[in-house]
Amino acid sequence: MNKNKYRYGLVLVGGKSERMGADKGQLAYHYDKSQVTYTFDLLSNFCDRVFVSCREEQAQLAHIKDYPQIRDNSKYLNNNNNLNNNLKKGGPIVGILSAMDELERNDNIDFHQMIIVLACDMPNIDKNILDHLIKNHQQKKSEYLVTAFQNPDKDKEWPEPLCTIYDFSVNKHLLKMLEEGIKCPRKMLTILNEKSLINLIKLPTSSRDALVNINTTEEYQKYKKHKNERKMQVKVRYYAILREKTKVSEENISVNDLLDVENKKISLNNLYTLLDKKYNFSDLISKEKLTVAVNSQYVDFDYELKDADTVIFIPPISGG
Amino acid sequence: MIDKIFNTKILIVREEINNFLPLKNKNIDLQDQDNENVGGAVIFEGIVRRDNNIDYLEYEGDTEMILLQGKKILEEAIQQFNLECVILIHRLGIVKVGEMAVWIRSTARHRKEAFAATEFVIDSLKKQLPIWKKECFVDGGSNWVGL
Repeated sequence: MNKNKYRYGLVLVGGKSERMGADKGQLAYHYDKSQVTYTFDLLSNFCDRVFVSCREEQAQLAHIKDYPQIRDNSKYLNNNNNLNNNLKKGGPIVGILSAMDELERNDNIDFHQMIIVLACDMPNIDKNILDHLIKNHQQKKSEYLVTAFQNPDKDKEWPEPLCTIYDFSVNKHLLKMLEEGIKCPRKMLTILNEKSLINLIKLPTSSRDALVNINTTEEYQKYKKHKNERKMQVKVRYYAILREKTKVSEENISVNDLLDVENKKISLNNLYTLLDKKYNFSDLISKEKLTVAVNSQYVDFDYELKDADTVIFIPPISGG
Repeated sequence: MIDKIFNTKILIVREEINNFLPLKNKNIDLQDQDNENVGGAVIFEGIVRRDNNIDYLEYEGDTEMILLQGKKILEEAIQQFNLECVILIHRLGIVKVGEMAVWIRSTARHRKEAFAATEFVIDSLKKQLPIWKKECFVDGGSNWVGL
């Protein structure tokens, strides 16, 4: 049987969220989209198959039950040679190992294939971050088994284990450490990093707070408040036929009011509609003929705008 | 690796493997920078031709994005054709009939790669770089190309 070429994604809904008092995956940071849905949709942009990793008793929860699931495998839970009683609760590493195990058994995996693991309590992760992570993973040296961001949190930097790409070949290293009683994924990656098995990369400069993770009700409320109060402003630059129409080469646009209720985000589509109303671009050129770039990179019109983005709507180009 | 906007009207994107001298002021003196691996250099010059009563072309572009996307094209060219160096210069602003608008120079161990890479760069820039040109006619009319 041929090996498949799928790229896998794994949403970790994980922990008991004791400090939060509610299931973290149920929380909605991005308007009213649950964080499980947000994370699943985000990974679906990059992965052929995405699964939600959960514990057996979570499987029927309303915000999880409709997703393809991989449940924690009891063989890892029982694998506690007295050192790690806590492992009965599972934890992210059990989720990751269970997924690798199940996919290897059922999906005929090649060991060089990747699985992108993303915890659902990291609301700042977006397409740009994942794109950056994947590009770096594709260019890594073959001896690296994991591509991880250097997490700048607190005093000490460490390889972030929960917004991370794992090759299936790292499985045996994780298992060995689990057998040795290590169950903290951060510690595991730190050890792998010392063995030069990790492709450790820096966060893009514009996304220093990408790996923020929200654990308590207070943190959640603070985050939401900040997000709601934040004024989102983008810069739009105009060229050629569009510049002649607008009579300005650039302008700042507040986009707070552009929330697309259906898609629960502010996208370039919404921005374009606003500008088209203002300048009647459609009289000159149809939207289908435009491409669009944000921060000098080509993107799709469904790109979700972020504060301080620089947008260029690009009429047909004619360099040379 | 040098990326710069040259004298505001000439834009240079440059990608190279070996150490070359930085560009000297306005004298674009490039030929003396080849290393001993170079066996072929191919230069493409794009020149404004007289078409439909054109007086001159007026180019504009987003320099920040051109530098970033241009660098991608040149990195791709270096990798794909195993080049020693490739330089792309594109003028912005007014370029009259008979003047040069684009200059590309690829160097490689052998000529085939240099020819192929040069063609790849001009083709890619036409597809990817945010540059627009307006044809300005002798009678005062004008037209954005490609609309």
